[in-house]
Amino acid sequence: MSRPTLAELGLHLPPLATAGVGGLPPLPGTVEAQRAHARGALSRDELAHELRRSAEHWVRVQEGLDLDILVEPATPGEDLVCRYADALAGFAPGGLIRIYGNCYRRKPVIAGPVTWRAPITVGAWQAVQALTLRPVKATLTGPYTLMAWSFIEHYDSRAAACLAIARALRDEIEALVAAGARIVQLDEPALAERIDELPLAVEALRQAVDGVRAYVAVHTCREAVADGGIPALALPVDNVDVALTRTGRDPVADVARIPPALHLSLGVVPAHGRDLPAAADVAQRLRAVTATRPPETLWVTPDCRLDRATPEGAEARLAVLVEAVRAVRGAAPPADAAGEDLVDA
Amino acid sequence: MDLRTASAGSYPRIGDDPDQQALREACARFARGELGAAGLRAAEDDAAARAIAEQIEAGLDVVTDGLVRWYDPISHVAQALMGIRPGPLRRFFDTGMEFRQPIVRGPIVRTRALVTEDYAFAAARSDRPVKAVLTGPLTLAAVSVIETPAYPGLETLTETYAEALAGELAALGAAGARLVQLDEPAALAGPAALALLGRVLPVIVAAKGDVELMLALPFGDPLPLWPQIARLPVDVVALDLTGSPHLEALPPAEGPIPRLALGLVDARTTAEDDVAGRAALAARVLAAAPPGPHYLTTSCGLEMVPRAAARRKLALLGAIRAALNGGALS
Repeated sequence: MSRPTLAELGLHLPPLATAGVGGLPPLPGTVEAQRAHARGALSRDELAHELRRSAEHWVRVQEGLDLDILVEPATPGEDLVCRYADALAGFAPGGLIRIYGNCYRRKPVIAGPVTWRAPITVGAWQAVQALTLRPVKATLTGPYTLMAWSFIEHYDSRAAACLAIARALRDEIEALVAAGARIVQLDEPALAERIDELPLAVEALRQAVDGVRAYVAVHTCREAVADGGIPALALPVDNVDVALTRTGRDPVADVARIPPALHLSLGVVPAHGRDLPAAADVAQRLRAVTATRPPETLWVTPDCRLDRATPEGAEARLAVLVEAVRAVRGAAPPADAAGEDLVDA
Repeated sequence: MDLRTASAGSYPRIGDDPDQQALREACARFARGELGAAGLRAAEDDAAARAIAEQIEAGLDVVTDGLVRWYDPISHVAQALMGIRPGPLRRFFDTGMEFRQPIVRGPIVRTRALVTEDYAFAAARSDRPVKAVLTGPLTLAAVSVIETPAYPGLETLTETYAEALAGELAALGAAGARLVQLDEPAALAGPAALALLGRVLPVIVAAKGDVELMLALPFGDPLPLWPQIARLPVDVVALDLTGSPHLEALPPAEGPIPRLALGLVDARTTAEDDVAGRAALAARVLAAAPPGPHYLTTSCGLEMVPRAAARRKLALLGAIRAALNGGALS
């Protein structure tokens, strides 16, 4: 089924549209509020008030930087998998697994048939979109990653589990679209983990988004899509990310491996690490890629979610990104960030 | 038949109970500057002692320190070598774990012990033999980024890592280690990778003295490469048999083959393992094996499952051995 274009969705984005990946860091006050709520010292309404304050802060920051597509802040302790495992039927809580160093993740168990029960992300997305005229990207974890980062006990195969999750996520995506979301991003950091399962991952994405009236992006989280032969499998989405920040990689070659029909989100600023790149260096990398593809098909983003950065660090990285894009576009900074007309009324 | 149950390497550093969080909390306090290096070391020592105790309680004949001091499967060895600095996080094969990519900035030199002190600590706290574990030279080289003209490519880098590891193996032998495992998941990439490993292994073998050298090949199906694997100059080869869905028995190989460590229990899932089926598979594989001792183990280290599942998985090794020794499966 053909996918709707951005224009058909009422979205008029400039060349080299700028955006976050998702999950901007929670503010210190929000972290405190979450802790207080957990120990019963803060009511649900008070926590909701703090979450609204965080959302408003990040909307104003992103508008002030003149980002074209906005993203939501992460909630404190938000987990890419458990947020969905806790809400979908069929999952049971799992134990702690180490990822590296002192970083652990709770890995849920698929203990029964996976089905969608009720909206998971819709309310939070609506709350942020209500604060701005610019489009807010709805982000959710993709089916392959939800499968790969869970223990499978109910299904006989990884494929059966993955496709059941895809069907459940499709209900969530349709709920988002019904609520007004026009850009949906599926985060698939596990996509490059098993090359032999790429056909399964692609089929799961297809079942999750085929025919959905939204512009669909997939974010694979730092790992270049070009690594895994994914392009040859024709991802059934509109936009896929490519990290231009990887040591020892040729970004032009990475981009060249991806079919021109796919739009790209170019991850130009590292989300992790202490070093903040100079905007001039980022612009230079961007120019190399923009010479090879139409700029209308390119978005410019960090190379991952910024939720592990400090709020100040995240804002600084987004500022570098915007400055680099301005340099490449050759446009002067806008005199006033207000008066956006990126979304049809 | 002489069958010994053995740890495959890592063991969960923490558990899900509140009293199993000590190492995590200590690491966090260390990162915030609230705990000194000695305090962190004490927490690691305690975690290692607990990991050893739990392996012994589960009935293992051969234990490890659980690799509880390792930052990730690569860095504990790589970052202890001169010439390497930590790079970005990368995914560790298809495991869901991550590691700091080694950036090779200059000549690689082993200037201090890599795991020998860890081994000595564990050996002093175990009444069972302790196996030391090292990341292998091919895997270290395969995941590294070279930013120095000292190494023109993978081959020379692998050779250099092998020389450094040979020094560590000699040190382990001098410290009393009798069994050392080299983890080489990168060797299953294909014939070329295995051939390169085969070329550099003699450097390590020459340094091992009377240490028993075990080569571990986790995270993949060893069957297609078995004829090549069988010719490697190691004492024991550890195979992940959960990665061989169609395995009936190992195909014939030319000449003598190494003794075996059979990865029979799936260390990457919480699902129940079929003890009878696994024992039957072991019986078929061991029918063509040389005289023992052989090892029964998990498919890889256990840090990819929660601690409660890890204990359960280890206990299955004894059940599989009992089924094998019962003779009902032959």
